[in-house]
Amino acid sequence: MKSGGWLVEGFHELKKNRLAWVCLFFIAFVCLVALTARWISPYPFDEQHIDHLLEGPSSQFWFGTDKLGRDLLSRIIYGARMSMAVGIITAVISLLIGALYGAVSGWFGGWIDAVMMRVVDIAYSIPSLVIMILVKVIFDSVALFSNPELKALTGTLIALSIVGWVSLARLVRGQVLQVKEMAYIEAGQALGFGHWQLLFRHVLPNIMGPIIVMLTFRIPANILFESFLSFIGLGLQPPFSSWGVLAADGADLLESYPHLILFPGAALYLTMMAFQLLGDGLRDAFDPKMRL
Amino acid sequence: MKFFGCLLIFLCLGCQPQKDTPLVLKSGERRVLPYGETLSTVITSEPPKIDWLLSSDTDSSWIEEQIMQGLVQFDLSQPGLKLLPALATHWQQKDKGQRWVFHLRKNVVWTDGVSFQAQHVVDAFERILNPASAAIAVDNIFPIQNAKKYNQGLITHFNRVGVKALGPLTVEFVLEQPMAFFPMLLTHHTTFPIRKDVVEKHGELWTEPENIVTLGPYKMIHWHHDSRLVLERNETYWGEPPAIKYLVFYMIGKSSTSLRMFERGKIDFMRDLPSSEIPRLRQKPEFHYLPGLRLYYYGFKIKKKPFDDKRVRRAIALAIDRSEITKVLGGGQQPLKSWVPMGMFGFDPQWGLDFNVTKAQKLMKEAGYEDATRVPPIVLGFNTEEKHRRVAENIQAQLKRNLGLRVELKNEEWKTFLNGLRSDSVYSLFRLGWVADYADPHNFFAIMTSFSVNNRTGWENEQYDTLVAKAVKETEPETRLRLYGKAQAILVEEEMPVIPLFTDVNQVLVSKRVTNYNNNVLDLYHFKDMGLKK
Amino acid sequence: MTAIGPLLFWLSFLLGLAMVLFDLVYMTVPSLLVTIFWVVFLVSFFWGVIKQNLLPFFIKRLLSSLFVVFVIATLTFFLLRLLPGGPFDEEKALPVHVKKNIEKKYGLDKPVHIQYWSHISGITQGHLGYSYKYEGREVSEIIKDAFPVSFKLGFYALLLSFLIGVPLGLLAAAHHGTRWDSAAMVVAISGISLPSFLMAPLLIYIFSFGWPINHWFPGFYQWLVDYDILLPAALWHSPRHYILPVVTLGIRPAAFIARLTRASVLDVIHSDFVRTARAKGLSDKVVLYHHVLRNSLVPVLTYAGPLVAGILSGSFIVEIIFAIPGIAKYFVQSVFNRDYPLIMALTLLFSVMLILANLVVDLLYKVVDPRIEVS
Repeated sequence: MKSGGWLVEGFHELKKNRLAWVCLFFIAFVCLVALTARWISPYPFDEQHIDHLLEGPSSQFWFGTDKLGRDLLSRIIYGARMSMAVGIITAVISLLIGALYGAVSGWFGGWIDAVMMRVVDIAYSIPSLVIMILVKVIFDSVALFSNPELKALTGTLIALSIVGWVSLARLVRGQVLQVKEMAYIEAGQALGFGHWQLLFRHVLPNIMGPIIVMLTFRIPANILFESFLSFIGLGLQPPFSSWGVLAADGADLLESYPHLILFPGAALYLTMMAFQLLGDGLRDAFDPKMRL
Repeated sequence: MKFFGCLLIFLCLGCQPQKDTPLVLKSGERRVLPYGETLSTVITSEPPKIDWLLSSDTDSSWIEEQIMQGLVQFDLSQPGLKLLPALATHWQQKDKGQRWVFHLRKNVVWTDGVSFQAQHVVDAFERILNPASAAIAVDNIFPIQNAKKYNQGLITHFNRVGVKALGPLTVEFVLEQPMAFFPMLLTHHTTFPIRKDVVEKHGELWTEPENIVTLGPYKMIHWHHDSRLVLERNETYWGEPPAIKYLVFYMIGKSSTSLRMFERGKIDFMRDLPSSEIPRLRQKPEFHYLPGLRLYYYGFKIKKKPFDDKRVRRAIALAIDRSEITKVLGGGQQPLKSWVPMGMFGFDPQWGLDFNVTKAQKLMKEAGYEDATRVPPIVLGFNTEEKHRRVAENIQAQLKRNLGLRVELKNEEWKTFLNGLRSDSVYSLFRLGWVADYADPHNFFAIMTSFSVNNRTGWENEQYDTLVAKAVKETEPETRLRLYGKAQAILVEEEMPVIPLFTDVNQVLVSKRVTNYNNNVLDLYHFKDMGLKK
Repeated sequence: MTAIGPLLFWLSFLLGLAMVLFDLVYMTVPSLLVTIFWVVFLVSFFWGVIKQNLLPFFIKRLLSSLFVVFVIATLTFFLLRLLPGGPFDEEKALPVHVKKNIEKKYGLDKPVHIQYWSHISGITQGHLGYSYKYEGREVSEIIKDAFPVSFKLGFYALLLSFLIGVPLGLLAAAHHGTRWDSAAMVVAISGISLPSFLMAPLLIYIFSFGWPINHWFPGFYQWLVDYDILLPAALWHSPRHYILPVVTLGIRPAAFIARLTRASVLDVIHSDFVRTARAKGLSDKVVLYHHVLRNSLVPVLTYAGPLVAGILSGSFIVEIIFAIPGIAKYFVQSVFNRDYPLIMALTLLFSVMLILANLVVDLLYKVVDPRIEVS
């Protein structure tokens, strides 16, 4: 089998899965909305209409307004930017670190594995809040970006990535341990293939399934975790907001102002569903073992 | 099948209408608190310490005020907040208010049967001022002669401090300088008497229900840490016995959760309402509010550009429409441009700058910031809370609209925020508030003196300092008012190191079955005065 | 003789069940039962360990864990000192000498390395110190009060999640590609997609406030209220109070376990040895339960280690929304309060639990899939 061949084949396979396609389109749509927010949102996201506080949906404000009289639709459109950025970027970073770390640990085994796993234990046990407060303080004092949106986001991105890779590392290690014992890997070893060649050509593609499931779980989990951080004051800086922030803000107002929770909640919910259904589809398609 | 079986059991458990509260005391004794004689309420966390001399948080002090009492108390039934006798029956001032003699009530007994004596008052002052106790809220009693020095460790003999027992039921206070409102300080829980022998006997655990000895209208019978605390009517209380027999304080951290409990009728009295629900709650008959002695203000770091220029500071103050903020908050807060909040002696709406955009723009031009994009970056810091965020977001929008300024918001976790306030470089504008400990404007003016640790702006003004120092000593109300007027002219018209924004409100939900509930500006709620409908 | 191990294991399982029943019905568990349970459980555990020749591995791991815990304690201690702000900073600033008095009382005026040594030596002697925030409460006392609550909440949530998750995942995998599969997965995915800070108010709104009955049938609603049939909206006083928080906490891991089980069962079904087994003419059922399930549990278990530690130490959101006196909110609040001794103790507690959970997981690896060499 040519390297990279499974990618093309997988893509053909994915074409057959209609649900996954719907989800892919939905996610692409959300990304498009996020990228073009400036042009498609009816109002600036921080414009306050003081005479229209907490109004329900109307022809003027399709999704109603929030406590400061800001148009909720515009805030959801802009929120897509933040949520998607946090979800995707941090998931990819933590996946890259975690997968590499876990694969190396599992593949080489022995004392390397023992030491690396103890490091994971340590990283997992140090209170993540402490690390996040520190990261935030450090990255607030060195301004990496002048763009206010990026500035509001950096601390969260870095904090989440630093904390997120650990559980991925454990999962990948577990998988590698299993795959390592498979007959064809042993054959490869006998044929004198190098460690890295075996690891990247044969081991990693074989554990793509669980990794993809984990990744699709990571994205929504990160979106959620960001809202938790914002909730306790360690996340995005206002007036910027993400879906998680909007939903967390509205969560207690189910009875008083249902629109404040309904719309952001739905956006959050649908996107998370889409990511996970797509992940399942991808898994079915790209897993080489399923088509042998 | 099993599942349905379990479900059935749960439903059956639910079938007994259970309005009374069952309780198992530490001694193993089982009690049922009858619904008709029990008032349930909420505090926001486990009380850090129910030690009235050392505690400094609202939850602990609320409970302390039910189980203890000071020499005097406020009359909470009248808006004027007059002083009423409590453990002291009467008092005299000598030397123009530099010496005060308090005569204590006879026949007051502690819950362990020991009768109350002047020495218990002196012991309290000795304990709170002792450096080894490391009391936090100690600066309230520094007006007493040598109190500060003793607390600093500069004096080692307590008999040099101005608190003495002249007889078994007479206490004398000698102050550093005359102070007209001194008796008011004795309403605060940091001046309540204490039983030194009890504290010494039980050590750190003396506040546990089986050890604690008190003399107030209620006594503590149960403290399940982190869950609930139960008080019972103290039958040996000297005054009129409280009408409600039991008080249950649930510890609930999230205000929306307490609100749900209130709406399900499990809680009868609740303060700290969720700020985003206020517009809905205002429609309810159970909702009560009153602007309190609470100031909400923004401060400038005057060493940081562009706020080193007082014209810019004044321009900012002029460009903020305070009524817009109070509208956004929607909880009955009152716009405030002077430094003394509404309802306090010394409140005078003539002081302070009105909302005026053209004037603000002119001042910015004068300061050389005609082009708003050339203004150095402004960072507005506040601590994480929904209400503070809303105010900051509104002010950010107003400054953008009225002056074209770009303000960066920094929403910080509490301790990080406090740490940032110490430096002159983190924030250029910050939120803070002040709640009066006692009903005198000195409370507020003292914050901004150059030697005050609570003045975090970096602003110093000799003239202001002298005015405030003069006003404390002054016993004539008219003259005091005039002095405070002058101080406000400097503070919130001329120099503008701070922008007062609004008088904050005390908001409470009180169930319909609670009678005799009195609103008061001090946010003090004494259950001994309340009752329950049958 | 060989049957003693499984026998003891099942006995401890039954004892555990009895404890659950006692807890749900009488709201207390007799301490005798708890003691017997632990004795039987530990004996059966070590019986298994010795039987499988895992004792050297076990001891090696324990020793290396001690070192790990020491590193964690050290790192955390110094990270805490780097945090901005101190434990006694409040809105009202303290006069300088008052601050000094406080620092002296808590030994914070000494150099950091001395504080560190006194703290570490305290831990080795079993003294975790007093909380800075809750004066007069020993940290160990706080943990002793709050941890069992979180443990109980987590245990029931975990039970719920495995009881729902594994069968759901199996169902989906066994009927791969059919409507059953999609239905099961949609249910699972819905569960993951709803964050608990939305799930909790929603459940409360329906089961505690009786929506939509309270709007449509006020009379029936009043009857429900009078007889107290609606579930409590918060607190932790009786089994009835457990239901909503347990469901809120358990539903996300349940969904995740379902998905993981499905993915991993599918992986195994399509692997060589299962195909061989099938080719040998073994029935589908035998293959599924004997070969597939065993092997596909590995990724589930990998996830289970951190999950168990995480969930048993509670969930901040669930505890705060339902006002449950558990330990999870201390994990957040102690950091915000800069309550150093409490943070240290909680970190140690969490790390010990994590290490134990992972150790058990690695031991189980050995048992389910002996081909794996564990380090």
